[in-house]
Amino acid sequence: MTARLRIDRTRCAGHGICVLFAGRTIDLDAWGFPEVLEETIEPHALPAVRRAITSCPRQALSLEEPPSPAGRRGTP
Amino acid sequence: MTLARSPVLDPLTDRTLPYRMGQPGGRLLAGRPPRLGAEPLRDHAARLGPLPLGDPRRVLEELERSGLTGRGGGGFPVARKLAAARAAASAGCAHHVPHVVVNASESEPASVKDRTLCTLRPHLVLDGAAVAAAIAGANRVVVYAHRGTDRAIEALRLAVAERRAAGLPDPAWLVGVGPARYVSGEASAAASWLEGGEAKPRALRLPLAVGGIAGRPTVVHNVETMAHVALIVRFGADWWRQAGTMASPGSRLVTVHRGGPRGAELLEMVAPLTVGTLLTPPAPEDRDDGGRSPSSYEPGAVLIGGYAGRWAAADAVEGVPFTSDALAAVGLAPGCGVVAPLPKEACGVAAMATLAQWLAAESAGQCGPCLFGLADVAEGLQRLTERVSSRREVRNLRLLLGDIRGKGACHHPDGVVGMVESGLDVFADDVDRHARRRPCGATADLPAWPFPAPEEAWR
Repeated sequence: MTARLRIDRTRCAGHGICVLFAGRTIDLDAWGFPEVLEETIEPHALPAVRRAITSCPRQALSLEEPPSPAGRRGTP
Repeated sequence: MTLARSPVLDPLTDRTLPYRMGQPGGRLLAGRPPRLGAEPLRDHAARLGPLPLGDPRRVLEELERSGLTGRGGGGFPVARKLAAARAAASAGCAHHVPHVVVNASESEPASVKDRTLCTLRPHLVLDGAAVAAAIAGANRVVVYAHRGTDRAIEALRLAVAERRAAGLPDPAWLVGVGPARYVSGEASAAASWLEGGEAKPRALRLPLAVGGIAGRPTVVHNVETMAHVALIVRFGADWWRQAGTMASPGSRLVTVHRGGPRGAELLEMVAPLTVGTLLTPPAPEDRDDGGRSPSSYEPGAVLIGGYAGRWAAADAVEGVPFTSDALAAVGLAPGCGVVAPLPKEACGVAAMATLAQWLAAESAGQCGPCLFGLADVAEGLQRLTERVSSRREVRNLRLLLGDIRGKGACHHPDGVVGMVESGLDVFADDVDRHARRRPCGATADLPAWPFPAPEEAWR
């Protein structure tokens, strides 16, 4: 089972805190914005990635874990 | 097979539109001549008959059989989007009534097809939207337009009033006018605007057709797509597929820029024409400048699909039919149907720089790589144009482009990257001369493409 790291780039403001926690999975690009190095997250990298996700001040990161429940989103 | 006789070679000059129209005829633009303006409901109904709104499932099957794909640029199969919304609506509870949005925003400045279609055949567009609403199970339809397309908006509003007065079995209509920004025409930006937010693209977790506006299934279709739906429902998929080719069926509206101060020309392609045919220079007496500058009509390269489309060398695509499959075979896409040639004598580097600068300013500024990256690309091209760059800077520019790709919530940055990357290849000679700070030998000005000043407001 593999998970994918999603970056909502409309939220990300380039604080770069994620890299401090998950430097093996995330790198910064030329403008200081995160770049996911590995499309799928290996199980051993998950704890670090989870810390990166919770530490993001803009809550721009999320983990997509299959099977993703389709259909329902926040109701209005 | 119904063929419109080489519409591009016999342009009908229409003085009421700010550009020329190809010969009227074809399908979407069949009927009265363009100079008469919007077709009233009475004439529309007399010409095409009433809208047969039968069993939605049958209609959906017919649309699927037609193979109609979205004409706003994405080219997504129309039936699949509608089926997804229909399924999502029936799976949800009663308050998950779907939304249907007619995307009339046409944010591509080089394209005139959508505003013209709305201006001349508003009822065809609204018919298609009524069908889409019936399939999706929506009871109201929003027509989303951009400021600055006043004639189209007025025609749509008048058409809505006519339909209300006639008491047609329609959904409730709403005409919304959003900001005239390049990225505001993107479907998720339209959804955001309709939710009361800014008309900026969003990062989607679910497709709009499943969970769009306020979490409801939302079907967003381009106006040309809607108009095709109205024809398929009336005359069937088999008839509709007689136009176009097996792999990309149906007629297609194309905006061609053949030069001259009047700018664009619109035509409906019933039988597929090659890019070369589309770009056939008009006879000297038909030219807006009276044939005074013959050389400016000889294309060296062609920009296909809009400002964020891709460049191709004119002689390489001359014989390629302007259909999605034939263009895909040479790495191009019809996009929103724009063909914009660059004269042989004009500078490709300057053209890229002008486009990149405008497109960079049109970023919504939400995603870092788009906001900062596109500005860097525009600056790099500007330096190259001014011959203060170097070959090393050009190599860096290519690396920069690779860094931007795939890093936007929408496809805006990817589109700009595609335009510049293809341009660097097609104009390799010009690029090299500029990088060596030598003259590129360009003698002609850039074509007079429209570059509207960005609007401040996002509401």
